[in-house]
Amino acid sequence: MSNTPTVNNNSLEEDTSGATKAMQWFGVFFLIYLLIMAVGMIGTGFKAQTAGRAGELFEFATNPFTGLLIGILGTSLIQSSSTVTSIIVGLVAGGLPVETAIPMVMGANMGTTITNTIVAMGHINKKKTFRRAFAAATVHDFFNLMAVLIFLPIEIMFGVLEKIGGMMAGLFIGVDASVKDANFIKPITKPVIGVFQDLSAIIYAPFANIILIILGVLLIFVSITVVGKLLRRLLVGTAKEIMHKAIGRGPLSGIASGTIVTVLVQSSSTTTSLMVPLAGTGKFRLKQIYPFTLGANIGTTITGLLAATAATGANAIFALQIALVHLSFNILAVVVIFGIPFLRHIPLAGANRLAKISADNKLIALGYVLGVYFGIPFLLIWVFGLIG
Amino acid sequence: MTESDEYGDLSRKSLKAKIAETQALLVELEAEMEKRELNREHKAVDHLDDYITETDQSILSLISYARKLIAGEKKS
Repeated sequence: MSNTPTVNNNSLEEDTSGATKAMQWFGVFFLIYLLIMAVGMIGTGFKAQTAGRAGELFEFATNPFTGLLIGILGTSLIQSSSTVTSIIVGLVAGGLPVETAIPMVMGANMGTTITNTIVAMGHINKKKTFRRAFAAATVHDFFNLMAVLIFLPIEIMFGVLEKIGGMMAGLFIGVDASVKDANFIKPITKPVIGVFQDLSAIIYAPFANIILIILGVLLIFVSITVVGKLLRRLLVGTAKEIMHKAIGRGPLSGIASGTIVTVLVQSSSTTTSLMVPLAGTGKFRLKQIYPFTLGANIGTTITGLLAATAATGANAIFALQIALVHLSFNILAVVVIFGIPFLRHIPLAGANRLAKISADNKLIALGYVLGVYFGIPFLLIWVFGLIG
Repeated sequence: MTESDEYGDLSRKSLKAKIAETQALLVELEAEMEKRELNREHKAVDHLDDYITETDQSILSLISYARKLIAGEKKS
């Protein structure tokens, strides 16, 4: 049994007065409101711009591999899967077919691991530390890659995730999408969205819808970034307590604590990046980091679910569906890959192998990051575009 | 196969007792090792704040790491 030492509360928390904390919490809720409203802006702008032809507009992405690569590339550039999945939820609310969005969501899962890999690169001058840190970062990559290799073909052939998401969404929203009765979000977001619509029209009326979408994207990015920083400051003490409780209690506890911490800080990049220096310094072994990382995958889906509350009208159910697809994909990936012993060890073996090679030749590490997150996606999108 | 002189004189019963004693010691030592590992992990979590700023990395950091790496490779 573990001896839990006295938890040192976050010094940041101790230094913060009650009034400041209250302001910070107000900021958090206001930013969440902004996020939801921004998703609504994207949905509104996209719906108006595409006039029901969203499927045609995104025809280039109906190739699931193109969708996957767009998700990887977009998330690698923005470094936030929460931002990208929120945008995707907004687009689905505006009419983007769920089937087209699913590979993008899978790609977002993959692209978000760039941040912890960059954190690992920070240790590049110390071979042993770098090797451990890089392994801790890339175990996430290998896991997400396996998840895509397993579930994307299944999804293409059978649409399992789409069906699961649809079924779950149907439990929350009636088939008739009689959302008006239960939707309390619309009254508080619609007026403000209207103001941004007017603003967009003032900026340049012919492109008003596109401007609205762009403003929505920027607002999502800003709100998620700032709320992540605020929540980190407010909840790092709580995150520590959760992690203390998980130490020595096995992988399921690790997954649960990874999930909860990520929900609290609203960012899988933060939680997985925190694991990198812990592993690099040798304080935690890769086998212990691994379940926590998987929990982060699950926890990050909360943002998409929050974003889905912004959707109204006939497409509300589809917005919720894609958010639930994201959740189910990550849960099923953990259940299958971590649950089956011979699959469970593959990400660990892959990460260790890659880390060993990269520690011996650090240019390989650089090549890996540039190639996997940018080079290959760019190249393949271009190739698929040529093939048509 | 050579016989160990140290244990050669021990009776079968004594040898079994020694084995049991050693196994018990091994269990104690492993428990101590695990306890130290867990304490180390708890200490690391206590200092989680120290690592938070390290996680604020962007693509720009990657560019600077790449420059350092390439400069290092050129020197060598």
